[in-house]
Amino acid sequence: MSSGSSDARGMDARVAAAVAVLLVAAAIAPFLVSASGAGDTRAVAFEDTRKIGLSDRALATVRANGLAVPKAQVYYPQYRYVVGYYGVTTLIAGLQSEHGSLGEPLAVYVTDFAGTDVTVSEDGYLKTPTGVEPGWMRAADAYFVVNSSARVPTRNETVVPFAERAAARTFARQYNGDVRRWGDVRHLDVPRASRSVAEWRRETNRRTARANRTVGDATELLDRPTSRTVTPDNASLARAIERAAPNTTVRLEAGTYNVSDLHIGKPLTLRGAGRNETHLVGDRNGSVLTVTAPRTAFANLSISGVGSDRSGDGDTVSNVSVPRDSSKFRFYKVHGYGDAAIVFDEADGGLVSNVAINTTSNGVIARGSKGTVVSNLSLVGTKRWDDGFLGVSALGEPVVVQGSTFLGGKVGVYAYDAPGVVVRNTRMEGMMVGIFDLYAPRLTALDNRVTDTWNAIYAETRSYGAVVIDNYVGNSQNGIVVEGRSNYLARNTAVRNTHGIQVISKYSVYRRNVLAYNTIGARSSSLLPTNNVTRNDFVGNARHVSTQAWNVRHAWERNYWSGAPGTDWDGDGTLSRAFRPTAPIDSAAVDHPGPRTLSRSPALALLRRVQQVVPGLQTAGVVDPTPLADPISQRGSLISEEHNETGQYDDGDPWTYTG
Amino acid sequence: MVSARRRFLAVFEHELRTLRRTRSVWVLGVGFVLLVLGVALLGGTSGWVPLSVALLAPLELLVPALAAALGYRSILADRERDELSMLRTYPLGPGTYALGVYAGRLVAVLGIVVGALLLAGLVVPLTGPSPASLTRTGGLDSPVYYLRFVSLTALFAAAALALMVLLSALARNARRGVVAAIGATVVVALGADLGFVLAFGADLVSASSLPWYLTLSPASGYRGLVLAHVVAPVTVATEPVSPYLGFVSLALWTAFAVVFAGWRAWGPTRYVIG
Repeated sequence: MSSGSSDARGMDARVAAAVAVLLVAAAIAPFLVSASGAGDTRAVAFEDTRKIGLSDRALATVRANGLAVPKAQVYYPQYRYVVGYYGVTTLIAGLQSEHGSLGEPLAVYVTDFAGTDVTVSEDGYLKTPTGVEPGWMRAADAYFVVNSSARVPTRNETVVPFAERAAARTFARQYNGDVRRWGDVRHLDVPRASRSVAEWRRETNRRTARANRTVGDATELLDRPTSRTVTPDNASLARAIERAAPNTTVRLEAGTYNVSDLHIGKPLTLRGAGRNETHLVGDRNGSVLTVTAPRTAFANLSISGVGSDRSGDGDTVSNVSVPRDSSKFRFYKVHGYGDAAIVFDEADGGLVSNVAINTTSNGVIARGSKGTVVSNLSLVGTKRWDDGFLGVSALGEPVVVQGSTFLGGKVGVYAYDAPGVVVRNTRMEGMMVGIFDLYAPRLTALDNRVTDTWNAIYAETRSYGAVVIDNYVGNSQNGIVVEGRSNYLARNTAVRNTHGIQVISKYSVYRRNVLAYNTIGARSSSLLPTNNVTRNDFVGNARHVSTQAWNVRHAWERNYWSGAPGTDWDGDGTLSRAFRPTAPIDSAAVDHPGPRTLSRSPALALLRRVQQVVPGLQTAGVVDPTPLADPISQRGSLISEEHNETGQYDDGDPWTYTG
Repeated sequence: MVSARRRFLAVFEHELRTLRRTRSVWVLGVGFVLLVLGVALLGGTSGWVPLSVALLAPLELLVPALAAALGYRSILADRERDELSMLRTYPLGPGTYALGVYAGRLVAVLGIVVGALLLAGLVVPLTGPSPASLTRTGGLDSPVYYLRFVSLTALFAAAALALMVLLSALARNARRGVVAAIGATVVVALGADLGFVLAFGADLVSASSLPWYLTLSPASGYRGLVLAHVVAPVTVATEPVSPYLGFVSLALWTAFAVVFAGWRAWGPTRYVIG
């Protein structure tokens, strides 16, 4: 070895040693840095949080009346977004039960009402002066006033936080409350947004009983004594109505009656000889029958010749019942003031019974007409949905629609701003939306059959408390889309839709539904795991479940998944292996032997076991820890005999929704 | 006078040269990177800690396998080409020789392991959930935890490689070397822990003394360290075994194996495995 190369080697050695020291330092460094507090947990603007708590309808009331709602926001260690809560009670309920998988909160902030001159209005609502926007404080620093007379829309109680003890005391003295600290408030017994199945059953029974009473009251209108009998030849129908005594029946003998914009201003029953015998034909200009008196009934007849103005979306309407500057104005005008076969205008307790309607615009419009009953209606609309409009439109007050058939048109039953609409035993086919609930809480849809639509049953996000039971939805783009919160969807059957049921609402129960042969059985897009999805049968769907990427992990327990890999070794009725319908291997294992073989791989089992260590931070998806070995309902297996394909199909009849 | 340092460096460079010329090392490296990337994409795209957790179990098997592949011929090859008897004529101590061989191989193993993990780390920023307009928080997740995971994996790789170098000193020929390396991989990755599970089941080991027994298994030591320094800080659910016991375990395994390997290589040729 020469001395030159020896020197070079010495140099090399020093470089190598330096590199080694650097590498060791780099390896040790991550242990010296404290990563806790990595997240910046300052309070953010409430709009930037993922919000839960109040329905959009309640929030609209808050905004419209300048009310105040205490808010909260929470950073969870295992959730990517800041969660915002309307109402401290919502926060408490969430912390106590629903968000366990997200870990102990890193930071909790609540609204600070100190110095905002907060008051309680005459109707009990919390109110701050206009323009005052309360700030944020840590919950641990807050003084909470509980049990006061203050409330917020749709809640009977509210907890009001203050940064200063004095302010809290003053408010508590004024409105009969107590002052508590966070440690106590956290463990308060607060009402849950989600209801148990037993509570939902009672609620369903109450609604059914109420609907039965409404129908019973209306059906009495068919027993009124006959005061006039008209034939197409002997007298004009208008004159007969004019001369008839109130609360009597005007009989219409078989035949065709040409009428022009007929008004009924007293409680009467118009009774034909049958819907194939007595025909009322309008002059194709405006509505055929307009009712302004309560308890008016139409029975055993058919109506056609309705004007072609589908929506009141022109300048022709001047008498809309809500003020022009209201956010509801446009909806009322468009959906309540077009041409229709029958218009109930603030006419409570009306009845449409055993009537056939043929229309290119609307069928029955009930504006502010409480307890209107539509029974055994047979409505034929337009073949193309965008040529027609609404079958039954309920605005402002609830109606009951039962035992009816709707073919074509745009919407079967439309409800806006009408709490408590009931639709049951009704068939709808070939339209954009079968049952459309907009801004109308407590919809009840029982035992309907809705096919060939874009959305078969659709309750929009501002609603809540929908009960959707025993419906059959098929061959539609979306079977059941019930948004909002606190809904109950049970025993429905969704067959061969593109999307069977959307699990999109919050605090809702999805139970004993059959989702069969859809392209996607259930689409899950809810923010936090607040839904109870259990005992449903997923049969033969191309994909049982799809989910959105920002979702957290949702546990749907005790459902049946056809093709789920695994065996019921111990005979307890559940498979020994958890099923993950949204994971690539499990979802493919449903119909292919390859992935099914792979699904048994210990490598996959290992991967999953270890993944359970950090549940909340894992990739989004649905997991059923206890998949059922056998289907719950017989419906699924009955369907499997009829279908061996998935998704929508051409059923050969003209009643089809084409987008 | 040639210093010990220069003699070490000579062996070290000799090893590096040998490895660089061996094509199978490169193939192994690429294979390892692809496997790690695959696991990362499948299991851990939602954050740094989830990625670490997803990689933990596969690495317990992959790292000993890689170490076996790169280490089983280290001393054995020198002996088979009869370079050992020549080296013994140099003023070279057994410790220096074994350390040089080990350090040379370690550069390759760590290069592959750390490189693959750093590459896999890109999965989180590149394929994680896209930021919405809403305020996103990392929760407690942080890349610091992933870097800790990389360091701990490097430590585990170092211990696994030391074991393989030792085996290579003990094996009589290449064929026996392969068998021994595969056996050691299985024992390190699965066998030791299975043994503890059986012993625990048979009441031979109590729950309170189990942590001490677990230090006997490098894989358990590694797993314990990852749980303690990567997973525990972000979850309340996981109770770490002991934050430092694993370090002691891995360090002892490494030191013991390298020293023993040197002694064996220089010692009388009585082969344990053969």
